[in-house]
Amino acid sequence: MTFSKKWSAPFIVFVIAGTVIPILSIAYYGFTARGGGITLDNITAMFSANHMQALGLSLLLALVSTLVCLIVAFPMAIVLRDSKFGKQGFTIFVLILPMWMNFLLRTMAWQVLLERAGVINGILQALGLPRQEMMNTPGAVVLGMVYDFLPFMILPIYNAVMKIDSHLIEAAYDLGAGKAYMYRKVILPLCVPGIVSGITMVFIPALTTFVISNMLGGGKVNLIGNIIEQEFTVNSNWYLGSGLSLVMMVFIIISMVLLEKFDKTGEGTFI
Amino acid sequence: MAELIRLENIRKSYGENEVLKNITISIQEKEFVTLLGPSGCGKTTTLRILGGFENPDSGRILFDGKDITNVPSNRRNLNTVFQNYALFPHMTVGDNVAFGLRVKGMNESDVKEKVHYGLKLVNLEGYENRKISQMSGGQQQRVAMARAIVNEPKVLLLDEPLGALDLKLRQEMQYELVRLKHELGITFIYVTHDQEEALTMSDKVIVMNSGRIQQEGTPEEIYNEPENAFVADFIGDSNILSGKMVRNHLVRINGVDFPCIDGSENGFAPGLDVDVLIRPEDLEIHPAGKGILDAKITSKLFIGMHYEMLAQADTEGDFEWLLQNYDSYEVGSMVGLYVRPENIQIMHKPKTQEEEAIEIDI
Repeated sequence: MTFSKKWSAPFIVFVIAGTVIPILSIAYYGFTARGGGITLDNITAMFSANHMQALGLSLLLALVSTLVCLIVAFPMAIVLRDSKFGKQGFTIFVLILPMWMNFLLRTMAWQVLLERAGVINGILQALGLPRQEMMNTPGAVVLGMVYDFLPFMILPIYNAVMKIDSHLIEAAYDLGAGKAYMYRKVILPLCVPGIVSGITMVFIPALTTFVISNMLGGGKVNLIGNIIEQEFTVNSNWYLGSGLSLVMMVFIIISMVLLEKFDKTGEGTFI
Repeated sequence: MAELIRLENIRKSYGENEVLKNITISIQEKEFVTLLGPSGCGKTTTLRILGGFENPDSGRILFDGKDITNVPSNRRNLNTVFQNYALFPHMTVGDNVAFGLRVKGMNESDVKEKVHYGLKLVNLEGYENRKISQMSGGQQQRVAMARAIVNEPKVLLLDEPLGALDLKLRQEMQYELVRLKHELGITFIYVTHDQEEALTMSDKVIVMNSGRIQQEGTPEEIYNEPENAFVADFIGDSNILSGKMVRNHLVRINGVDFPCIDGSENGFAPGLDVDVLIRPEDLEIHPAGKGILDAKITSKLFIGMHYEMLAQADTEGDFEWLLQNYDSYEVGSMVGLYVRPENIQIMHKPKTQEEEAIEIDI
């Protein structure tokens, strides 16, 4: 046995216990009826009206927050590239600092800010402005998603932008390109791997989240993640929960394959 | 020939570090000009200022009589071949070459024709659809050349374009570059630290050190009549000695008088301390007693075309002469050394440190 083979054993155990067995059991439950016997009902249940509505809303909110993250992260990476060397590391450090705090705490902090009697409304009141109903809206959920997932967009794009050789930019100018043309033909295409992995790392967790929508949506914003969660916890219907999970998994794999088409280098995706 | 480019009193510093100290260069149309010097001499900075990638602290750049000091690089009628080629890795060879043409908005059928022509010029016909990563170093170098020349610039700037290639390929590309220059009839400005490259390809060589021009002239002038010890030492092998003018056309080196052809008529008055350059191939070897001085061969190397020998002379000072000769002389034998007066190059003593000979690692 070679050295690397010998030491791969713990990881193989980890993959089997952490991935293969759970997926197999989800598949087992997904195709099993509550009373026993094989069925497709748990799968087709996804196409019922309220499930489709939740899936649609999930897709919409995940898309919006991915887009917002992209719009914030890309220009920021460009600005950072041009800034002085010492400042770059510090700025990135500050930006990803919240990542080291617990995810639940971060989301809870937004609750305190957005509440009816929360910090923002307090400020508005002090300024003589009317209170805003900000909690339990799709907007609040998007805000939470963006805040929680933004670092996962920034880091891969920043990495891609920083890797671009400045001689390539000079070469583009040398060949007569203006700034806009240079960005479109040189910077943007070379960032695609970073953008693709950024989108993957934001869109998929946003699509399946239930904690953010629970905490900032207050049960009024029902995402597909919430429905699956409720099947497992409230209704104790593991069969339906597993069936819906399987559909979501297929959904995610399809979107990753589609994304990979944009990334010709294959650096940014995980498939 | 008309003047095409003029750099006037260019200065450039990076913080405390003065990279260019008042450089003035005049470049004629269709000239092959080489900026030659050791690393850090300011040659690349000069080229980058010409390309528009750096701004000079003071001074101005004239192009065809017009001041282009503040014109950005994308509006200068010149193109650069970068040291690391700077080819766009996400594009094919064809798209790389077409970049400048598409920027101009040329229609696709013309672009295709031009790209074909450009690749043919550099002997890469039919490589349009290759990826950059599939090309070897020498091929990438050619793609970079094609990408620059299809734009029909008036001037091509080349920043050590052959630096990354192996010796054989480098020599081949030297011929290629000279051929291209003749075929295209444009001005080449070439940066290198390789004196051989500079001598073989250039119409004019500008030797730089520590941000100043040491000498400019034809390759022959630079080699045969260096103006100071730095130039003499940097270009080719050399024996550089201290001497004193005894009278017109006679210089004393280590107590031995050598007839030469310089005198007060060209600024070397009797009594003046001077530097003397004698190229190793100009030292003729005669039987002992028949030359100007006698010396003992102390080492011998076979170089291929000739033998390179060191000889210790029995004179004042402790100088070892470097000799190059087609004939071999045994180590330990006594020989007479002779130099023709016209082969003795008298130079003024360095006034500043940067005119002194330096140890160079190549």
